[in-house]
Parts: sequence; C-alpha cells; structure tokens
Amino acid sequence: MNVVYDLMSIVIPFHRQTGIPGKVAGALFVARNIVDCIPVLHMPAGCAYHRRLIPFNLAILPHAICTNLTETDAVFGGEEKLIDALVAVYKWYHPAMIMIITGCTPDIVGDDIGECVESARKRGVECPIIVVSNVKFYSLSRGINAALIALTENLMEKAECRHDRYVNIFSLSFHGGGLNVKELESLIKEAGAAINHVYLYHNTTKDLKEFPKAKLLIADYSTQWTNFVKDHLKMDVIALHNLRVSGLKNLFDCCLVGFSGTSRLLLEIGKALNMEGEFEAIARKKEALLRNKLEKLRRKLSNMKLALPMQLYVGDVGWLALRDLGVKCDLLIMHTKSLEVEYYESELKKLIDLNLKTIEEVQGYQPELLINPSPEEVVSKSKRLGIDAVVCGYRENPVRYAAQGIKAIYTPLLNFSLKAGYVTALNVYEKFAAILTSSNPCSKPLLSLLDYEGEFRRDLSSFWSDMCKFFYEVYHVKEPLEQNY
Amino acid sequence: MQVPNVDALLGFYDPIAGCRVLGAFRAFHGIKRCFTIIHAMTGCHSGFMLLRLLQDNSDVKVLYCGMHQDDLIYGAEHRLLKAIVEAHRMFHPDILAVIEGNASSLIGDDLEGVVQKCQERYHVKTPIVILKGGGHLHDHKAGFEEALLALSQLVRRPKSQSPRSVNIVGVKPDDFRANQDLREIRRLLRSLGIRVNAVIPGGGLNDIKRLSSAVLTVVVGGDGVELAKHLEREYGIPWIITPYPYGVGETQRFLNAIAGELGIPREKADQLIEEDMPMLREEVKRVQFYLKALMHAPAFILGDPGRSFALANMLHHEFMMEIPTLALQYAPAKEMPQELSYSSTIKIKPSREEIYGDIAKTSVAFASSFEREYCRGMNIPLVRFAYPVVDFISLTTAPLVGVRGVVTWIEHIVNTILLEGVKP
Amino acid sequence: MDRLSNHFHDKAEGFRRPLQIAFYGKGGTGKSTVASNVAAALGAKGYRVLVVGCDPKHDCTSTLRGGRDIPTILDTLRKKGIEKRSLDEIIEGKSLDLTEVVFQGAFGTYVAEAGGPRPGHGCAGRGIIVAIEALKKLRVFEQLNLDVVIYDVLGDVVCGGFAMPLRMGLADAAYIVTSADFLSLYAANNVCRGIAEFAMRGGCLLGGFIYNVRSALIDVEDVVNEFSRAVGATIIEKIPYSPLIVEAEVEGKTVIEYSPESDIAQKFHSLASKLISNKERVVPTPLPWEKLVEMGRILQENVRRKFKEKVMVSSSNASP
Repeated sequence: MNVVYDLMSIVIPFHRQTGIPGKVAGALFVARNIVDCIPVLHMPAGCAYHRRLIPFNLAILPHAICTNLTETDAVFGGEEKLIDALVAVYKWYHPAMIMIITGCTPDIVGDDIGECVESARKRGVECPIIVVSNVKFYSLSRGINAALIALTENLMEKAECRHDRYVNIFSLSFHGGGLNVKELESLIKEAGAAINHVYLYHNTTKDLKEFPKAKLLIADYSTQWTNFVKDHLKMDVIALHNLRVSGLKNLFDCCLVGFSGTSRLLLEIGKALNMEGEFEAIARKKEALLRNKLEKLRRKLSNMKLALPMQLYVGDVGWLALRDLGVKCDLLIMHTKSLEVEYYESELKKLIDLNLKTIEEVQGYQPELLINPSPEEVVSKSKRLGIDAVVCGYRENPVRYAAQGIKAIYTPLLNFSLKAGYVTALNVYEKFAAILTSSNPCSKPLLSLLDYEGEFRRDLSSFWSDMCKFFYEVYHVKEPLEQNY
Repeated sequence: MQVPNVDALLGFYDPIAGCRVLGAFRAFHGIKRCFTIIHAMTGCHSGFMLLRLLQDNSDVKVLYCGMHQDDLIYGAEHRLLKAIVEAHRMFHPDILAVIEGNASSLIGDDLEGVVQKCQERYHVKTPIVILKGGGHLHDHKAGFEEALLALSQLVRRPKSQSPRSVNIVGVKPDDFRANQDLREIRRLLRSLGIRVNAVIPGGGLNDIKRLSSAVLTVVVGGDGVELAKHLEREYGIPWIITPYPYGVGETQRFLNAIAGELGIPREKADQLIEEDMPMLREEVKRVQFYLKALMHAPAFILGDPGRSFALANMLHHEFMMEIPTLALQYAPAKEMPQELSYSSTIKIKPSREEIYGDIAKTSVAFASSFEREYCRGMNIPLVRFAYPVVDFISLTTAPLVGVRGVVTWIEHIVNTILLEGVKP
Repeated sequence: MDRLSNHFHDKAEGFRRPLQIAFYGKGGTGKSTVASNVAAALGAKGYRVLVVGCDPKHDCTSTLRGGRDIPTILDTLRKKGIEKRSLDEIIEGKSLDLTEVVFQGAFGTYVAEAGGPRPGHGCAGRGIIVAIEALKKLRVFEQLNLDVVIYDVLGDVVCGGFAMPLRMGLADAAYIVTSADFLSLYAANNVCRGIAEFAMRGGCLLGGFIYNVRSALIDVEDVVNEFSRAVGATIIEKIPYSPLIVEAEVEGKTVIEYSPESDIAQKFHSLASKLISNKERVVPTPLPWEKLVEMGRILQENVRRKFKEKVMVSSSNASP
C-alpha cells in the first residue's frame, strides 16, 4: 500500500466538501475488498459505469455488473431483470457471495428486492445474496456502513464456538495508516492471543463468515457498524479512535494510537480478553526496549512550541508529540464553520473546552485560542508567542505560513502512516522531528504560486474555497430559500 | 477472478460507456464559464465530479443541487432553486446548465418552473439551459448531441459571415490531450489561412453566439452532427464530418476535406504536412527498433467512434499494427462513413465481459483508465486515450493530432509498453 | 430484504406476530372509515391494535384521534435529519423513538400516519416504503405487543410503494372496500390483479370484500355479490348507509365512539369480529373487461330505476 497514493484520494477537496460519494460507492468499496464477492448493481448502466471509480482510494473496479434498467423498467419495474442478472452472474462466475446494491430508480419505483432474491434461489442461485438496504435520512454513514451491517446481519453466522482469545482487526485503506497492521498483529500474537482475521482487504466470504469467532474487534473508528457488531454479535469492540467524546475529560482517553496510546491499547485488549497480565507484560517489554529512542526524540523536541489544530478526536501527530515527546502547544487553532451547521452551539463549546482542558492536563497550562482565524492572524499570533511551527491538518495551508516566515508542517501524510504500534509511532515521530528541526525549509514551493484569497477555506485556492462554500450552502445548510416548498 | 471468455452474455450487462447524463455533462462542461448543476442524488454528481477532478484539479465546473434522500419523497425543486440562485451569486457564470438525473425524472420535478422562478423572482440573468429526462433515456452520444442542441438556443443571428471561417464541433476538452489537440488544430488551420470562428465544446458563450457567422461547420469525428444540422437548417451553414486527425494519413484527409470545402488548393494542405515530416523522420530514427517490435502486433481499441477509427487507421497504416477488434462506446453517427480500410471486427457497446476476452488476445490495449485493472492482471500494456483518463495527467503542450501528434503517440505507446509490459 | 429482516425479528424470544390486514379500494369508497371503525371496535373489545395510514393526505386515522393532527413518520424523519446534533450523536445521528410517530387513539388503539409529499410533487410510493421500513426498524410489533395491525392504503395500487403491505412478510390478508358503482368495482378488480400477482410470490392473499353502501339511494348488493363470487371471494360484511357515520366524522370520532349503541356501530363490531376469525384466503381471479362492463350496465339500470322511483315519489308527495 502506498501511502502517498492513498492520500491523493483524501487530499482532494471532495469528501463532504464539494461532493459526497453516496451509498453505491461505499457498498462497492466493501464488495471490492471481498475477493469472491460479485456486486450486482440494480440500476441503469450509466450509474454503474462511473461508480467503478472508487472515490475512497481511487481504485478502479474491473467489474461493475448491472441490470441495465431503462426507462421502461422505471415504469414497469425492474425485478425480472434483477432475477435474471442474479441467475446469470451465479451461472457464469459461481461467486461465493453476491451483493445487490440498488440505485435511485428501483428505490423509487419500489422493486421488491427480497422477492427477487427468493425467486433467484428458486432458479438455482445457491450462494449467499446480501442486499445493501437504504441508509437513513441525512446519515453520516452511507454505503460502507450499510454494506457492513448487511453482511453482519445476513452472512456472519452466529458463531458456534467463539474463541476467547481470538481478535478481529478491521481497517480500511483510507482510514489513515491504511492496512499497516502488521505490528499490531505481532504484538497481539506475542501476548498469546490469536488473530482471527484482518479485515477488510482481499478477504474471502469464508473470512467474513468466520467473523463472529472472535471475542474482540479492534477497529479504526467507532461507527454505526461497530455499534451494530456490539449489539447484535455481542462482540467487544475497541476503536483506535473512539468518537464518543461526549462526557470525556481528556481527548487522549479515546485515542489508542501513538507510543503511549499503543500501551493503553494493549491494556484494553488484555482486559477484553481476560489476559491483563500477558498484555501488560508485552507493553512494558516494548516500552523498555524502545524507551531510549523515544527519549532521544524527546530531548530533541521538548519545549518546542507549536500551534496545533483542533481535534474532534486525537489523530494528529502534533497532538501525539504533545503527549509522547514533550512539545508544548501555545496556540490552538479551531475551524468550526463546517461544524456549526451540524452541531448545537453548546456542543461546540464543549468541544473547545475539551481541547483546551486536554492540553492543560498534559502541559500544565492552556494554550491561547484562535477560532476561525485568517492566516494573517495565525502568523501574527505565532510570531508574538514565539511559536516554532504551525502544525497544519487537512484544513490548513502550510504554504501561506511559510511565505510569511513561519515554519509549518502539513501532517496528513504523517498521520496517514500512523497506526497502533510502537515502532510505527516512532517512525512517524522521527519524520515529524526531522521536519520540525530542519534548518533548511523549502524556499519556493510551487503551491505558493496560487492565490488563496477565498474566505471560506483559506487552505484552498479561491476557486475551491468558493466550491466548498457553495456545497456548504446547498447541502449542509438544510434550510430552503423558500419555506413554502 | 478469472473472466470466462464468452461470445454473448445473457442476463446482465457491464457497461463500457456512460449514459446520456454523462454525455450531456461532457458537452456542457466543455464550454468555458458554463457551470453545470446536476439535479440528481449525491452519487450521480460525485461520480461526474471525480471524473473531472482527477483529470484537472482546477477546471471543475460541476455543482451539486443538494438533493437528500427525503427529497425523493417530497420533491427536490427547492434544492434546485437554491442551487441556481447560489451558483449565480457565487460564480457569475456565463451559462448555467441544469441536467436532470434519473431520480428527478421519476418523481417529476418541474425544472422549467424552477428556472422561471429564478429568473423572475430572483433575477438570475444568466442564461440557463436544461436537459431533462435522466440517464436511462438514451446513451452517452445522445446526451452529448442533445446538450449541444440545447446550447444552440443561445446562437445569435449573424451580422455577417466571415469568409474562410469554420466552426469546430465535437472535440471534447475532457478527452486526453484534447486542449492540446485543439491548439494544434487551430494552428494547422491558421497555416492554411482558415480562421476558427467557434469551437464547441471548448469555447465559451461568445463562441456559441457567433456559431452562425462561419461558412462551414467541421464535425471532427462525428460527435456534434445534430448541432451542425441545426446550423444548416437555421443559418444555411454547410457541414462536413472529418476524421480525427491522428496520424499523417488522417491529418492529410482532415485538412484536405476542409480545404476542399473552402476552395483552398489541396497542395497547400499537403505542403503543410510535408513541413513537419523531417522532424518526424528524426524522431522515428530514435525509436526505430521499438517501432519494429510493434510490427503486426495485435492491438485492441476501445473508445468513441471518431477517435477510435482514426487511431485504428494510424496504428495499422503507420505503426503496422493489426487491429482484430475495435470496440466502440457508442454507435457512430450514421452520416459518418466507415473509416476502416481493412478488416476488423467492430463491436458497438459490447458488454465488458466480451471485450475482456478480446483484450486477452492482443498485445497492447488502447482504451481508458477503466480498463486498467484487467489489463494489469493480464500484463497487457494499456495505452490510455479513451474517455475517461483519470490516472494519467497531461500538462505538457504536446498534441496527439497532426504530424507533431505522431511523435506524442510514439512516446506514449513506447513508454507505456516499456513500463507496463514487464511482468512484476 | 424485508423478508430477512422479519426473519431476524421473529427470532426474538416470545414474539408473536400480530394479524396484519390491509384495506384497499378506490378512493372515497370508505376505506379509512372502515379501517378506523374496525380498529375502534377491536380496541373496545380489548385488542391491541395499530392503524398505519398509508396516504400522503395523512387523514386515515383522523377519527381515532379526535380530528387532531399528528406528526407523520416521514415528516418526523425529515426533521430529525435537519436538526443539529449533540456530540453524543456523532456516530448514529439522531435516533427516532416510537413515541414520536406512534400515538394513542380512541379505545386504546395506536395510530401512525406515513405522510408524504404535497400533491404534484415527489414520490408518495417511495414515502410508503420508507415509512413502513422505519416502523419495522423501530420494532413496532414487539414494542407494542400488538394483536392486530391495519394498513389503510391510498386508492389504487399505482406503484411498488403502495403495494408494500401486500408483500411477503407484511399483511396476512387484504380486504377490498367497494361500493356499488362501476368505478369502484373497476378499481377493486385492478387491486385483485395486484393481489393475484403478489400471491404468486408469497405475498398476501385476498380475505374478501367489504361492501360499503355509501349512498342512501344506491344499494345493489346482488351485483356486488356477483362480482365477488366471480373473482373467487365473498363479501365479509355489508356496511349499510348511515348518516351517523358522517356526523361522527365531523366530530372527529368513529361511530363506535359517537353512537356506540347504534345499529351501524354493531355492524362494525360484527365486521371486526369477522376479520379476526376469517381464515379464508383466496387468490382472486380478476374479471375480464367485458364481464365488468356487463356488471356496470346492471348497476346503471338499477340506478336509473331507483332514481326514477325517487322522482315519482317526490312528485306524488309534492302534488296536492
């Protein structure tokens, strides 16, 4: 997996900024990662055609089989075509599983997909057929969660025997760190537990059926699907980034990546598997082994003053450096525009508080706060506070700061490589430290040739700032222009 | 998973071309300062947006109407209203195009009513063109033709017609190296003393307005013929279909066809080509052995009719390759003469399963990025040229058309084979 | 999809599926009147009943709730989507509670309205699908421990959405409400076509007809009987004309509530009992056009004769 390539699909201002992929793309992404699953797209050919380009990792599907619904089918229903397609696909490919993904046309017309499945069975289709049903209105999760929930509900059989020391690991290629789970796997095995399967890349239908054998699921993020797994399969779930921040006193409590985060993760795994002793021993052993390297980095970076971006959950290497490497955060930058339309004002205040208190707990004092500042304001404040570098997340533009003499680090590439694991964390920290302490910053980045005068998104060129603002107005701001519509 | 090699498949279809909405989108988006609003669900818009965004991070003039799932029940007219008003306010486009997707066509949103309201109540002065009906109505080509026809309502009556001026119709700016191709076409025509009056798609509103001022419409490759016919009916402007000028031979035919219509001596066109031949000779010398390896190599071509036919002719006559199968993403214009002068199986809109079988029998594939995974799996180099090319950017000025374009082709083909022909 | 979800729910311990009835018929034949009064009658007998109104006009259950408006399922879902969230709701978004869409009506009945778009916009059929799926996701059957569920469906079965209750796993029986006029029979015949089609794939069957005499003048029971026999079913109950129905509706009540001792109320009680006990289910055989026209002519003749009689009676009363 190439991190830079994966990052290209994330860096474009697309996902929820100027467009949203929708159910079909998400479900296809899941289907693609199951090698013996054939997705059948119940929709017109045009819809199926461009969905073969997966927006989450820019993969291109070699097959996008569809039922080729026409205008006539929209009037008379497309059920016959779906049944024929299921039978034909089974006959030609003998897949281990078929996943039906519906588009707008059959959803509106009201094709009875369940009935089509039954009819296909009567005509000899023997493999499991999973139907990805609709997601609820204004749902954050779309096709990926819908597909995973459908798989869990209909395919993952109730385990006859659940193994108390078996662990599932779940990671998606665009979830930062990609599928870099080797170190986590080896830590778990070293402690005496076993990996049931790693999902979701090149898995087979058999792998999915065996999903419930594990006692514990370790996932990148807590999602609707992980909640579903907890409720329906009664499986313990540990999320590396837990999005349940409400009620937390410290954001690091829900972050299990980075050096110390990995130790906490191991302890939590141990607790879930009733193997506290074993996992604690591994954690201590690895910490001791790598402590020197960490200390070396600490000495290099401690007391460096940084400006950090706000976090909804801790995923930025700058924040992890705060906890693990002793850097200081003297300035916190919050961008709340896109959150304002989704969350109550009181909730945003809670989030700001949580960020500030977390930093205070680590370094003993709260940083100064800038909310929705312009780059000039950030530069001016940073100079006044003697900030050594501004840590830029996805929504910041390091080129603008560099042009005004402030060192800036664009962390998405580093964050993308971050996963649970000590060595993984140290590798990222080393790169971070090297950039931070480099005395030879880039002198003339090509990106500085663009204009960044857009007010809505200061990290993007004016055109893209306007595009994001437009999308924000028509999609995220849900009030219509006229109330009588 | 292994794909069985079958002649005909029943029961399902794996499309090799987009729908009417995609064709229309490509037409509208090719117009400068024309913003297109996709009045459909998120997936529809995001698909088109991504196709464009990956090609060019700067020129993405496609907007979403904001439709949510509940709008399928309640109707989405209010979304379109807001989208048009905001697009007008924020981007000040010269033209706004609204394309209706399948969902809206099923629930029956009143697009005309919304547009009228925008113009009367919200004072949106920008010309707005609408394409209704969704994608399941017809195919990619139909959408492209209908979109150009929709734009023709903006054509102005000519004050006068400029002699030796032509309209260029049918080169799609989002095709691989199309902007470079347009530049080269302009240069070639200028060298013959021919003025390019308007380029559609490719130009802006002013190009559309002055379409009626040319003395000839040149439909390059056959797409856009309905617009040409319309211009003939309304303004008496004759039209011709020319081949896409890939390769020396097709470039000669392209120039001769236009020159012939405008009374320019054929020798002038031939001379223009001759001027570039020494340069071509030098480049051929540098790759002579690579070209030898291509002799009689079977190639597979998948693309739109105009460019595919031209490419096939070039590969056969100039690269000495064989083209056992030519797969077209849609049917050629019926006015377009069948361009192949040798035998080849032509398949129109075959299912992907069929063409995978054909690709497997060849040594090099000429197709789009969407054939990448299969070709990679079969270790067949994929020379990207057909729409969409989304995993290969083209920033340099080198065209694919004309004699100079042959050099670009050589580089593109040979490099692709060198990079992708080696089994990992 | 629906089938599998039902299967999953059925596996919950101790869960007993309620009897599910769908009322179909031409608009204006009295489906909502019948559905509401039957629900009230059942409620009065102690049954736990839910009435789901499947009409964008969302007036099906009006007489069970004193005429007051209730939030529809679709409107509630839409509003939830628009509302801002708290940090608790980052993952799952806004949740929907049963009490937000299912309300208590008269005689302990439960009522819910699917809702839908205003006339001339959107797709009501799609709305029905979404609304019914939402109820299933809320596990309404288990939560309310229902005995009977009644679906009151808009007019004709015009598209897939309105046929939702007919699908496998939902209604156990469909009853067609008809009156003695050609267009009602025509519509009833069309519905039979739909039921016959769904019956072939495990969908619900026809329980019978309910003959609703809406007019004081026109009561042609013979023809309606002949129609139902020809289709292969029977008339479960004849609801005679009664001005009390209209009076009650104006008050926002069923006759069961408005005039519980009246004959018409007893009729609805009788119908309610029959619906519970009726185990007969048939696959209807829709009539060909010619046969329908023949029946239409008899109805026409009957109406002419009755009208003439009425005019003659009026004249003789008027003349000295």
